[in-house]
Amino acid sequence: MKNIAEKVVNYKWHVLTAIALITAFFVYELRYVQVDSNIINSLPANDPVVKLFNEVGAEFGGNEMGMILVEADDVLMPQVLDDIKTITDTLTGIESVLSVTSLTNMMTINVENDDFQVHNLINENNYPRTKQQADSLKKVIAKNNMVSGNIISKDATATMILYTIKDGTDVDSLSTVVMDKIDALNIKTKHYYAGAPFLRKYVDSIVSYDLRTLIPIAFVVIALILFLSFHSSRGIILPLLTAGLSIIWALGIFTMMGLKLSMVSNNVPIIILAVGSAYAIHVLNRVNQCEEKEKNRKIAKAYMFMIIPVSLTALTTMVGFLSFVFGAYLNMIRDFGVFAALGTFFSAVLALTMVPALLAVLPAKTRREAKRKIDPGKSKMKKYLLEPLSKKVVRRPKRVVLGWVIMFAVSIYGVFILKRSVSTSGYFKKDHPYSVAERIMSEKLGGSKPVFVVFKGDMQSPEVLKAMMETENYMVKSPYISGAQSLADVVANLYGAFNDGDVKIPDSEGMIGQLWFILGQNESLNRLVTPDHDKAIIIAKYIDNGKNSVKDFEKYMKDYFKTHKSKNYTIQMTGMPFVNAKLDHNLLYSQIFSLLIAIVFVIGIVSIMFHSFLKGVIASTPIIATIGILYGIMGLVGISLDIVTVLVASIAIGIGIDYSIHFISHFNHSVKRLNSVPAAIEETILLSGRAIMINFISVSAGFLVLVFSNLVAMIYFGILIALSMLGSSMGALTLLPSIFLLESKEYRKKETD
Amino acid sequence: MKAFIFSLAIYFTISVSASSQNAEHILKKMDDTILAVKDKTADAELETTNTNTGKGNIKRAFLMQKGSDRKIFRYTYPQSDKGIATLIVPDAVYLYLPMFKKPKKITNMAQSNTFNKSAFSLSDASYLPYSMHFTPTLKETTGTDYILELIPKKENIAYSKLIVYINKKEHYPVKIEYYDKKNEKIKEASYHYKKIGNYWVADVVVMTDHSKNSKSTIKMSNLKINQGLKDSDFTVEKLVPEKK
Repeated sequence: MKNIAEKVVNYKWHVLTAIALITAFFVYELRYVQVDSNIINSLPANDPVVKLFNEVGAEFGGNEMGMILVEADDVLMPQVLDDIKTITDTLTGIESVLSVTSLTNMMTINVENDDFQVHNLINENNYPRTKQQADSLKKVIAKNNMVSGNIISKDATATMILYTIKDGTDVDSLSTVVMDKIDALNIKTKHYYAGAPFLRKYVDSIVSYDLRTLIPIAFVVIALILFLSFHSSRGIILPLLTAGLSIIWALGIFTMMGLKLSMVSNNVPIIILAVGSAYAIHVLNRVNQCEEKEKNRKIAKAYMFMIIPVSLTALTTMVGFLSFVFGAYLNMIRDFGVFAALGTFFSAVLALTMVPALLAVLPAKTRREAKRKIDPGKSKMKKYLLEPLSKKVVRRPKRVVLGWVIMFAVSIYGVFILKRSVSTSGYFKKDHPYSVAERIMSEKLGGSKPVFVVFKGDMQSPEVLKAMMETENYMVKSPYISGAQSLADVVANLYGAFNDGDVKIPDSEGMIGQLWFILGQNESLNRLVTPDHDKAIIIAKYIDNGKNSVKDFEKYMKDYFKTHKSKNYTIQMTGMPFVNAKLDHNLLYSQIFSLLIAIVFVIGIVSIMFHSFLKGVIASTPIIATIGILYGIMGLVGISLDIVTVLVASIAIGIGIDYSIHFISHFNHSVKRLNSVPAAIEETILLSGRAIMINFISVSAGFLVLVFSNLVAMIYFGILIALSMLGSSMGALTLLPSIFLLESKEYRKKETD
Repeated sequence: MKAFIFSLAIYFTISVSASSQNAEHILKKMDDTILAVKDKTADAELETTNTNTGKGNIKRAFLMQKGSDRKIFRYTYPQSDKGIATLIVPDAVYLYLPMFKKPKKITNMAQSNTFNKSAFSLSDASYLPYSMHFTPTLKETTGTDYILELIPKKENIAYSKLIVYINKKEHYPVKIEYYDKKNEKIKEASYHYKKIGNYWVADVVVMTDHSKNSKSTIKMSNLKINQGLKDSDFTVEKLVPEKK
């Protein structure tokens, strides 16, 4: 240890030059930082539900459709139709857009006698001018199931303009082009962007915005807290510099690994800032407290004291983050763990290399600066918080433990009512345009979650098409589906058109074969059937009204599939509701798994550190109690467990355990010196308590900056981590000493007497 | 000086006018070459390929044509299409599906995108004679071809211009490029002509549609021309085969 400490100080310029060069290299790498918030890309590709969902997306182009929703008192009024037409024409003029479907360009087929008439659904030269004309058009549209409730709401207050995209298009760039072009039109009618491409666009822009704005805010907030705590310029600069460089190094390696930022990992810089600055603070503090007069020896001595605690607290924090690498279902959660663990590692490395090297280079503290050092004995924190707290704990340890037990018990109820959510609309604030668009889709246009039933077989066979028709009817009559369309619909309608309105699947394969002469020409059928006619899908809209259960719907469909089997076709089902259900299930499973990994490793590390398994378990008590209470609070106030808030528990364990480690370390020294548990507890609360409280305030303040994020989940994440820091710090200062006291021979003897 | 400028102006006016007259003459001769064939019959093979995937299909039909606006296709391949027939007459398209007995008028459907998946469009065929619908300018003369730019005379034509390559010697079109209203090339047709008697007849036409990523090829065999087909051979009744 001494050797390393001396080397860092003696080779200070080499150390600083190497750090500068590494930083320059990683800054260069930052040019390649990318954001990808596509949750589908983050799902494990070998999962059967995801695999089939991706196959359907690739073969039928269903996953990458853009939508512009228009909302008005009556979308059939001329000025609104003019706006719809303008948007439609603008989209049609964009190179990468393959097709556009809207009220103003939809074609309908009418059969009069033996004449097939194809004409526009709404005549461009004859838009309704009066309410009566609009109502009359509404009645015509209401008869068309493919349009009413799908393209236009039944009350005609909302409609969608749908576009598909050419193969090989950069969908994200196209979304930007579409938004720019439509925004430039200055259309007065209310319109919103919906669909997967725009969801990603919105999330990506929020992620980028948050990165640009929240990191500087976090820097300022933490600098302020450091100033109030240390009253010295190096007390502010060195921790922030350590955290800043750690962010650059971690992001550099993260990018070199080919990983991309997401709505989960965009908060990592703030985590590194909050957590990573602490290591530099500890080193700095220790150097300040060291009594040696010669600067370099002072630094080396402080270094020897700090290398193990800093390494171990970093290790426990990293374990919290790395638990996601092994436990996460979503790649974006795994990447979050990698990024945050790297940041924590570099924070510790830089705190143990750059900070002592810089201190060796910088001049020794001036007398004035030294005078500024706050005497812990005179602080307000001691007077108003730590002294009353230590007295309370020492006098009434049972009450303290009872208080924690009651809080924990109440929280158990909250844990049972804790909700889980994987809904995309939950990412945004309620007034965000995407939330409004999702609401319109769900309330007026039959929902935004498609279900795909994939049929494999000969699509000219009456048996296959009839099975498809039956399945579709079975789905539509359930309470889960608002509407559906399939190749079977098209064939039946075309047959009806050729056969005096008798809409059905013909019995003759020859007839279907001849209808294919027309069907084969229809490009829009690519959304329903493959070019080889060996695979076709039913596209249905799932009603996500909060009452329906995907599990019930899955069972409803599987019961049907069991009794409708044939050697001539196979049926499979996928879609966003099933992907979400799978995600929901695995979110819970991975949460439990990550939490267990974190608990086991943290207890293991702390046990090794204190050479006692019991101490490892006791040290973990405050943080485990805190996690229980945290989940209870989430359940009681209605915060859902989602892809971001699911991270809180494991992170809280990794960071929160540090308070217990600091407390136990100090307590062990004190108890040996003072030979009295109550006195050791009192001293530990008063001395270590201050460091713990400063650390809690700075870490929490850093995380609370996330309340300024535009992602709802991130706001909750910030609040929940701050709450867990409050819980684990207060647990370390109250629950932990109470347990030590109740366990002590002195207390037991006093009780017996 | 004034006299010089005047002479120059006269020179340019005359040369532009001469070029215009020359272009019109060339285009007229191309129309005459195409329209010299009064009627034809052939075994036609239509191959449509998606240029992205390379996948496609082949249909075969017996073709009867009179002028440029009367056509009957009787499909022979694939088996599922056997007996299906389409009739194209001015302003109307009819379809006969044997299993449904009666022919249906599908004019709008055939003209809209919902029908015509091949790169050939019905409206392209209606531009004959080109000299009636377009104003030509001679852009270039190569060793073998005249290159004309055709600007539509009326707004209702879907293209902003056509660039036509015309064989200098025989005056049949070798290639036609179609430009949309944004002046981007969206389609291209290449022709192979063969001489039957004194007439030049296209026996292979390849149409590439860049906007739809598709390529359609029509190959004609057993070509017979000027057999005296009548308008009455192109009626709806003729779509339904006579009972033997």
